[in-house]
Amino acid sequence: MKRIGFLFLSISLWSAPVHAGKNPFSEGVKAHSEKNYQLAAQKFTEAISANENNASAYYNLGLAEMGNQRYGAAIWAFEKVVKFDPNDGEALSKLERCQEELNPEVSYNPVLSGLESTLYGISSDTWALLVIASSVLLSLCIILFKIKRHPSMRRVFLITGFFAFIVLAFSMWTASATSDYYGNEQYGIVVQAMIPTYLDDENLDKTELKEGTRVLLMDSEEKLLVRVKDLMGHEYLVKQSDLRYF
Amino acid sequence: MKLLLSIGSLLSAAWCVAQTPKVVFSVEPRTVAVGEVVVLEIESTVEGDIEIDNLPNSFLPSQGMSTSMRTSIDMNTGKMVSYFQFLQAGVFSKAGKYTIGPVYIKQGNKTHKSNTVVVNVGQSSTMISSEITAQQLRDPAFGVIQTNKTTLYEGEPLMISAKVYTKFNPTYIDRYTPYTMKGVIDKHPIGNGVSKTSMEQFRGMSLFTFEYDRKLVFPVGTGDFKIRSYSMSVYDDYRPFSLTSSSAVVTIKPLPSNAPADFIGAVGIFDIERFVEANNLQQGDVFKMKIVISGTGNLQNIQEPRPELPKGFVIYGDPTIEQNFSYTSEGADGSVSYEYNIQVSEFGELLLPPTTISYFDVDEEKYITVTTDEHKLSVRKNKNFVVQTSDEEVQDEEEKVDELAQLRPSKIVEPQRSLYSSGLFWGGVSLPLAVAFLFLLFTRRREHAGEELNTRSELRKLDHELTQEVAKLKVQVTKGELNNVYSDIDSILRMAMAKHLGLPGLQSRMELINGLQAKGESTLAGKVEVLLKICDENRYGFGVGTESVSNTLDQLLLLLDELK
Repeated sequence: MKRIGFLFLSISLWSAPVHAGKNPFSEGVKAHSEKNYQLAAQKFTEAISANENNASAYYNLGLAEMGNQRYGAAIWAFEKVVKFDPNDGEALSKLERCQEELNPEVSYNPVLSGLESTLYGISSDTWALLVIASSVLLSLCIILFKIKRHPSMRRVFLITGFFAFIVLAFSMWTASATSDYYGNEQYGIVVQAMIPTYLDDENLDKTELKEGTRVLLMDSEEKLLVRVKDLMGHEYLVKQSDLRYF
Repeated sequence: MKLLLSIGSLLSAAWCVAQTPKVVFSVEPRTVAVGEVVVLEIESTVEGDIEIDNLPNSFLPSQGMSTSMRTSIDMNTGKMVSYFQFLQAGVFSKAGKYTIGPVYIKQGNKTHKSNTVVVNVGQSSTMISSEITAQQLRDPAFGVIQTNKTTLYEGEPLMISAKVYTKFNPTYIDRYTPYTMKGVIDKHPIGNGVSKTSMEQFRGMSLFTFEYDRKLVFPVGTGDFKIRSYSMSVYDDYRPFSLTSSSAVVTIKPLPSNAPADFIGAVGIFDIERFVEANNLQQGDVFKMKIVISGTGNLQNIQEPRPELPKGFVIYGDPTIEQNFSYTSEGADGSVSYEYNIQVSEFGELLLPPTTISYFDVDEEKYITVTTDEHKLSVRKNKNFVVQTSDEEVQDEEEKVDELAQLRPSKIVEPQRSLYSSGLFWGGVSLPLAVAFLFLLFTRRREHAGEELNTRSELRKLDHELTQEVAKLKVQVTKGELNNVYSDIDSILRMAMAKHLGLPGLQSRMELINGLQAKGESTLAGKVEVLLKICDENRYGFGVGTESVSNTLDQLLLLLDELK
């Protein structure tokens, strides 16, 4: 029954009119249904190169990489999906699974907390509109406060104005944080089995970072070695090319 | 050094003829510290000259050899068998591992050979004594509890002994009630229980001393643990002295919480080795893998290591555990081996990853991880071998396939327009606020302009009044009506100053003069002050002539010109 369902899904995905023909996405789906995960991963990567905003291509790439048992690469793909939608429960559960495969002792720790996921789940545009609305409300309250002479009316406008100011400040901060989160690649994932770390530009350090390790980028500029920080707060110098960013 | 012991014949040779020659050599205990008494025992069915091979120079015999004989019936043959037993006590003066024996017994032309015995002699531990009271020191005999440490980690061994000091040479002890400690479930005697009596300087006194009941214990739990006192009777020939020792306290610290996943509960110093018997393997064969953990510490309490095997290797049953250790003052010393039966279900060049364990090193005070080498196995293909997977594996595999099958249809997420930080956003935020600000500004200016208009109107009114008053004053002076001239001059001057300063509200003389001074017109202010003074003198002083009035009026008119 499951196989029939899978077949149906594969056919519906493959034969979807929008993606009909030889596009990498549908080729990836076909390869995946044939359990040729290597080829599927390659095709979904091509689909991503063609359109970086294809969230499903990242998700499917994650599944293909899980099939290839390349859990570091799968983690990167699912993190990208979560970046599109921080409340994507399926992608989050896949991240947990990949982490379990790589290191069962350490549980997966999402980039965003529950509150951040909820706030960032609402787009920065929505927050920006709320900023504008609260700005208008605040201005109206100021004007009416000045015009009205009746004390009780003035009190109403004072309280409403204060509320509008709080909403303005909070939504401004959230819009800024959301825009920053979506606009920048702040994290890196180790997708190889192990990558070296460096003491400086020339000397290798003893520590190596394992596959699936998520690091926070400390340097924003483009250079060969970048400073990163792991979840434990330890800082390392790694080759920029050894990480995959999200 | 070889110690040659010659023993003369004690019994008739006839008994020995029918017996099978048998020589057994043993040493008790086989793990001792320097200075602790050991007993060498030779039990033989033959009698003759005894020679113990490889007896080290560091072995110091304490007294002469004692001999005895016993007879028993061999249940297999039904014959009477005589056993000759030779005992020799002594101590080792140097630490080391000694292989003693074999023992040779020469009987006529024949020589009978025994087994060998390995004895581990460790360094004697530095012991810390419990507190002694003044009363104890006055007694002819007193005891203390000795421990090799007062602070230790959970799982670390602790050596405890009862040490007795006497002012006489002790000949015998009895009625011993041992020391006790809560939380100790694992204890092992070290040595044969009693050390040689010696002389020792103790707080300026020369005392006889001996150690008794030396034990190695492995306390369970953490915190402060009290070792309760022991008691015994010590004899000076036939005179007994009862003593009760002082008690001691040891602190047991918990292990750090950051234990690695492969921590096996070992505390001490350990190493790991792995042996794989995997020659000429083919798919489906079972081979043996032996993991040997050796070292010193709480070896008797360690948990089984968890060898991580890749896919294609299945462990069959529980491992065969072999323990080979003895207790020394440092803990359980030796090794524990785990032998696994492993079936290989895949073929080709396979890699058996290293097995790791972690233990806690009390000297370094941190967890140490040790690892074995990895092993490469060459496994031939077996066509007849069918890989059997368990139901759980099949279910797991199905779940995995099911999980991987949850593909998503293509969905393009529109990139966010990023209204935030765009011109539209900042315009939308700042425009209403700017409107409100401009409104406030406008309102404020309007209020200000209204006030200014009022002031101007009042000033115009004041100017009008001033002109009228001056004309009226001139008429009065001309008519010679001088009653209120000075009051009018005062009033006109004030009005002129208020108009000059543009402050129609100000009426006080001081305020007006200060206003002029503040405006930087100090000379004018001086002149005004002088004129006002003249007015005051004429108003409140004696009568004045008409001339002075006209002078004053002239001065007023001059001042009014200046104030314009």
